[in-house]
Amino acid sequence: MNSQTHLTFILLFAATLFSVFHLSDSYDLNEDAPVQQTAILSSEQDPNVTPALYPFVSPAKEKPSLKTLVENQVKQMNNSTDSADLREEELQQAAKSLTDSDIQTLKGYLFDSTLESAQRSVSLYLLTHAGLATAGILYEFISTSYEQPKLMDPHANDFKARETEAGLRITALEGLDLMAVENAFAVAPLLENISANNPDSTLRFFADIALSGIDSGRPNKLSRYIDETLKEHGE
Amino acid sequence: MMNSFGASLFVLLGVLFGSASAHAVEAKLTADCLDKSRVEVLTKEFNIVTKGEATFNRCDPSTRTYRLLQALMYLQDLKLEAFRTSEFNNNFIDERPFDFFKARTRNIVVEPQGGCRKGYIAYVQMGEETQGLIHICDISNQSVFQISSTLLHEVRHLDPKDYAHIGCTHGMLMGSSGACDARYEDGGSYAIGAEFYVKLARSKNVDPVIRQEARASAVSVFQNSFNQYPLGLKQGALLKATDGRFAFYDGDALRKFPMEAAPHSLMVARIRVPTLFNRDDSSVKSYNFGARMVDTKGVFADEFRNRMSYTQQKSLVDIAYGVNYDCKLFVRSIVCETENGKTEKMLPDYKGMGLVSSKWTVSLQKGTLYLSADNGYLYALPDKFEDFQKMAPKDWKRSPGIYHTKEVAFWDINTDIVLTNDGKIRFYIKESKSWETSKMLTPYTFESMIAPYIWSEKLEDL
Repeated sequence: MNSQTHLTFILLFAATLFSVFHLSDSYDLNEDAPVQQTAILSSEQDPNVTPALYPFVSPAKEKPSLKTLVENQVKQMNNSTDSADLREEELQQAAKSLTDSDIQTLKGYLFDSTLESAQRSVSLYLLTHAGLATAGILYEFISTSYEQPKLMDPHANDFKARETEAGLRITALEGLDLMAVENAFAVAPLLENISANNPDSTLRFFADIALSGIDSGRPNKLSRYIDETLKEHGE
Repeated sequence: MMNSFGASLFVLLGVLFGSASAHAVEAKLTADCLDKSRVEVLTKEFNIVTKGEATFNRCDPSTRTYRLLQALMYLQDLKLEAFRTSEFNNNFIDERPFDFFKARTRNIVVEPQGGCRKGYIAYVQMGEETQGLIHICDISNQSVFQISSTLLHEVRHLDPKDYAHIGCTHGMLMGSSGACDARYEDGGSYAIGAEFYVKLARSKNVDPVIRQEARASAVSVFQNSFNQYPLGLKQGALLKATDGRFAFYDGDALRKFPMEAAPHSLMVARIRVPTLFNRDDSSVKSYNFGARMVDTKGVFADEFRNRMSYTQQKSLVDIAYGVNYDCKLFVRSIVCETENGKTEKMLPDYKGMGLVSSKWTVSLQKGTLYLSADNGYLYALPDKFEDFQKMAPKDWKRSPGIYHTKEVAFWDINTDIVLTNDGKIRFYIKESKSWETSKMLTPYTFESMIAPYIWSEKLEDL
């Protein structure tokens, strides 16, 4: 290799290094080294890190696709400072105008336990606010069994996964409880099946409470039960 | 050996390829980059040691450090509504949960893949409390609010009291050691997590999806992670005495149950709902956590009201709903049915005492419906209705021993509660294969029992 080739090699190598570090904006962290001691901050300008707020701040614009709506909402959930009331209104409106195809897509997200849990929660939120049309999907989801943790330890990942699955099903059940206000006749048999056959004793008990509301002519009793539990510990 | 031209070409291709690929990655991740100045502030606030990641890329959400910092930023920004302290709300955490975390934590170690006990999400270790040290493991699939809740849960263990978990005595986690706390009021790690969920669920400024998720998480924790149910609920057995009165027994106390005495009625559990078939007025009513009994729906109720003679009503001993088929047991016969048909079998040389559904028991074969006979044996009815139709009662499998049990039901993970043919309550301990009694129940004689039954007067008020 002559000296010119050497120079070319060094320049290109330097350019490669610059390109990689500049573009990935990395902090060098040595094994066992505290972040603040070894962080190398690049001098580039900050990228715009705020995700688009559409559709929540611009409701007049064109309706976003379901995929965009779900993705945007998942991002919003990472941010605790955005205006929640506007989002609630927008999400509930979106839930009311779901097409059959949208509902099937959301069902796919909800049932896929490999997805990030926030995406499943958004899907469930929309399905529980979509009215009676999704009662069958909620029932099917509640009745779908999930893996029990190998390690019964609150610090274990699969224990946490069980909590997530159980929580999603409680939300779905409360969705059915609310739908009973609209049509108790349609919802009662679903609740009876959960009460009789679900392997989760909490869900069976909650289905009993929901049914007792229907029996007494005042549906939505499970919601009142949860309200009371939360109120007891929130006031 | 590569020549000089080859070497130059290789490097050039490397630059072009590396650059293009980095551009593509950057374009994809720009929107997900964590704010640089906030990362700097947090890394000054906490001593964060990252063992698993050689470099920290603030634009790559797939790393544990990114997820950790994202959750810390979430907590930092979060201002919950204020709720007044009361008998039930101890305000262990206030409007700023981040303060609770910060007050206890100085060091955070992000462990590498395989650096934690298998499957751990996060933990604190005995002996490291004084360092305010928390270990972060696999948090990749958790949402930001779930990671935040885990962080708050864990740092409670750093307090001098330690707040170690204990075994669970009821609910979905019953029998699990070290997976529950005794009570919310004790302020352990579950209390912190539960309070965080409650306050998220009730704060109007919190994202609506998180509010909905936190609401379910809160009620789930109160139902399963404390060894004390919310709203005064107790798990026990609903008992009907031979004089027609009803009582609720929870292991500690025997309480009057709010159903009027009904001496000439048959009490059965219609999917755990206490239902009274009353021979005095042919009524069928259910108690479902309401101030008044409601008329029971269904085929059997309709038949009892409208088509059964008094003699038939009097000889009706028990009803079992929805195992694989439904059955009515009379003193001398059993009638079982599905939507597709009905079959009656006469009992040979014994009388029917009761039907035992083993769905939730610990001592009997799960999913089988047993007929309890006055000769003391249990007879396993065939699983399928078609087999019930074909088989003669003499071919039903008989229990190896004589038990004299009219009803058997789940009491706890190791125990069944049993109503004997002579009306006494006993407890069968599976592990030791022994029997126990309750002094409180000894003076009474019971006719029927529904267990496990979860109840509180408060359920009626909702």
